[in-house]
Amino acid sequence: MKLKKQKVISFRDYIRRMFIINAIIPVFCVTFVCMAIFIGLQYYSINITNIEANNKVSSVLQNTLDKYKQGVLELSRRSSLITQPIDADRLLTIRRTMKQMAASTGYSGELYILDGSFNQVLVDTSELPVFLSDGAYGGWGILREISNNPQRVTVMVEKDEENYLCIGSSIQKEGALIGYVIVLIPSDEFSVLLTKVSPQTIIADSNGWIYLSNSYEFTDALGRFDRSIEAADGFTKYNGRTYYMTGSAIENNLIRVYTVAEEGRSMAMFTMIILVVLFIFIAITIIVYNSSNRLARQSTSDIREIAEAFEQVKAGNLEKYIKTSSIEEFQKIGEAYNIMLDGLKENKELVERVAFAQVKQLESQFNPHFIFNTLDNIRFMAMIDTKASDKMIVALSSILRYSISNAQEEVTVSEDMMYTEYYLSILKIRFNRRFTYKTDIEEGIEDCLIPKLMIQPLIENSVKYGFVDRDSLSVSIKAYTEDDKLIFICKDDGIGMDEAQLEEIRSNISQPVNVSSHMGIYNVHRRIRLMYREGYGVWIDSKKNEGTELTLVLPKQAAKEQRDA
Amino acid sequence: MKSRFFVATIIVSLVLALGCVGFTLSFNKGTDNDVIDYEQLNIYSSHAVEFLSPIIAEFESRTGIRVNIKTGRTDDLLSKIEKRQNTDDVDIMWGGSLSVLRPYMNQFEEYSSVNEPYVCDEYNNVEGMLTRFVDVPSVIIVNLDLVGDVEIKGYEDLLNPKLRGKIAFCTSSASSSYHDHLINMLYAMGKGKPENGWGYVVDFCRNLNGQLYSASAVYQGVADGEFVAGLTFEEAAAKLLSEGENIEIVYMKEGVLSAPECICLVKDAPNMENGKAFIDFVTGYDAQRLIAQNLNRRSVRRDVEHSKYLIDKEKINIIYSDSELVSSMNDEWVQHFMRIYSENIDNYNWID
Repeated sequence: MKLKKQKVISFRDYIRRMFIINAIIPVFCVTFVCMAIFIGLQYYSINITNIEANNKVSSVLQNTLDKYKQGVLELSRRSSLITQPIDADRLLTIRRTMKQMAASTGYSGELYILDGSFNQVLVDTSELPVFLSDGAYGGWGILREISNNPQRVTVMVEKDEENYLCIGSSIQKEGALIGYVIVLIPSDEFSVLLTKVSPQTIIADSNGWIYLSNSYEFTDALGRFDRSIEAADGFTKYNGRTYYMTGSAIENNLIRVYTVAEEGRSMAMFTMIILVVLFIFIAITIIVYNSSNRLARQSTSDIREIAEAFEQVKAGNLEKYIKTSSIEEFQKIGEAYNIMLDGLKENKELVERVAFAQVKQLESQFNPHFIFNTLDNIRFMAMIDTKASDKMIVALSSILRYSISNAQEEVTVSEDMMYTEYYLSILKIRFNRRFTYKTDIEEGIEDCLIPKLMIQPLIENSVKYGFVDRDSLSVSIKAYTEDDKLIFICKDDGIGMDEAQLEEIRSNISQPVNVSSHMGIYNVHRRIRLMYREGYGVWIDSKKNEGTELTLVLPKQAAKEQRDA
Repeated sequence: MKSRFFVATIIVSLVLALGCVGFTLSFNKGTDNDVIDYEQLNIYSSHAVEFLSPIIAEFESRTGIRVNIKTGRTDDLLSKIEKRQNTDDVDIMWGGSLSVLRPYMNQFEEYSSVNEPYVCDEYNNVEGMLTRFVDVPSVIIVNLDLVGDVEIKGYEDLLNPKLRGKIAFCTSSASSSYHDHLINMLYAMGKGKPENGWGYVVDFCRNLNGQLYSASAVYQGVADGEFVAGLTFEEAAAKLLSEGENIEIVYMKEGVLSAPECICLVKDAPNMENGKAFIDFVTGYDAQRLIAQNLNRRSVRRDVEHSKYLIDKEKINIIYSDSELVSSMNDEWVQHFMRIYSENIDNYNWID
């Protein structure tokens, strides 16, 4: 079965992640969208307000200018204004025309008619503005502009006690300039207009000389509209503050209208709103994060217990039962699990008993073979060396007593080695010089526990199959630990076996029932397999005429304190 | 499945947000004012805004050259010019009397205006860099309400004990009127030899009291009746008359020093041609007439009449200083005056 590879996360983390995804991300998105819409609307409304205000002022100004320009043009065509004295009827007509223009535009202008030498012909106010009254201004300002462009209607911003919008033209007779017609609109006239629009408004000429303004900002050292921002459009920084500027030009770019909305207050409010929204967002995030943690922990506690129980079983502990849950599904799982656990425990006990019985049966198989062989030897020895036969009997009886003592299933290495030595001494007496052995037990493993009579069958195997027609045999027994394994190697320099034999023994060992004559090795291997898990047992390796090596692998078990009964 | 839904949500919200921003930005584009590349002219000036405005407005209107102005005290502006970097935009130094500007002559470009032939001989630009554009002689103004029977016709009359502590004089080194009056005193009272004038200065300081730090405090103080007499300059006095103040302008009978003010083209000015155009304009007939008639300064041109508040030049006892000597001794004289002033001021404490 091939599983799709994916990162495994706990159910709790999964639940928590779901909470976060379902709560925080939508909140984030909604907040983001709302703020974006808010910003957009804010800017849109500023822009619309500014454009409307600018259009209003511009169109009123342009309309007024157009009307007065028309009036000035008509007056300038009448050279009789200069050449003939103005009688009462003409004066009446002129005054009425001016009044009509004032009424139609809503802004009244002052009419001045001067002759070619700047003498007053007709004036609306007794006190003339300085730029009209004084001879010094003859070649200056509006009068110069009119003289330079006699055919045109000139529009200019002029300055005296207050600012004036000047609309003037020349009166000509036979191509010569004989007089001036000038209408002045004082800036006062439009100040009410500026209060009608909410943003600040500045009306200036093309060089920035201000005609009318209701703002105290944006002026340079000479009181002109600051040229650094004359082309600004949209958001503009000025003296560290942000403004929204809209500019437009009228009258062939001679007059400019700037509309400026200060961003200061709306910006501060906006910042506040962003901060509040941000705070709410952070608060929600923290709350959801914590509560998701708690909720995930609560809702997955049953799953966690089930998982833990399974984990225990995996480790071999069958004592962990699942507590009853308040959730129906989990309760069912728990109950079923507990029943299953009981079943498993019964099963395990059964298996253990069977194994134990088998082990005992295998152990008991050792006895007859050994006793037969040894008794045979004693009989022989008793004839030639009574002392040696006596020693053999003592050794045999010790081994027999040891083997039938059922009390201890496992013994220490040193104890087992002691009885192995008895066995070896019997063999030494039996074969005398033909048999040599040596033991090499690594320091520190004397107290490890092993099943009894594990080494003896290996030596027995060597003696039984090693001699055949050889004169002598030497056996070495080596014991050491490797990782958590206890390894015994029994090596002889006997006749060995060929590949076929070796293969036969190897396959025999793995069979549940012994079918060969190698009873000893088979029994040992079988016992180990029944007592421990896979990975332990006996491995055999051999070469014809070179010898056989038996490797016994057991789990390393330290002796329990006060284990001896 | 679920994650796809959330990715979709995020994408949709991003698209919406970007849409909003784009929507807003598109409005900002609106109507772009055409940025015209105007001709520029940068002026440093110590003149008052009321004086500058009409002249600059007219110049801009006539030429289309845009004038950027930086106003300040003469000495500050001069030291800025002296320390200027190549990147500093300054073309014209406009303001300061001849004696103040002369030491800085090497900071200025040689230029002789097209109007030089119309200029009175005494105001000719003999140095080449210092174009005179007005003459602002030093005068004494007298408050006619307060003066009573005390006769003030010149410097000598200021030693009258009845005037002790009632004379206004600005002793700020930044003020041109202070320098001009001091030099005027030394030359007028020293009978043409400044070193002989110090005796008068000592006596004058004894009769003087209180220190004023600004030139305007002098003439305004006399007009407001804080002082009986004040040592000031003709333009300020004429302005007070035109405003209807009850004062009299006294041209010192011992002699009035001609103290022309100059306009100079800064060396290596970035807008050299515009600067020359401006000097030509300021010394031209129209501008000179306006300055004389409405701004109460004496024109340097022969063909321009002075303001009705000023008397004819012929009626004034005009004296001349050795401008090179004045330039070299100026600092020393100022220090010497301050020494005399502080030695004598301690005897009187009435102003505290």
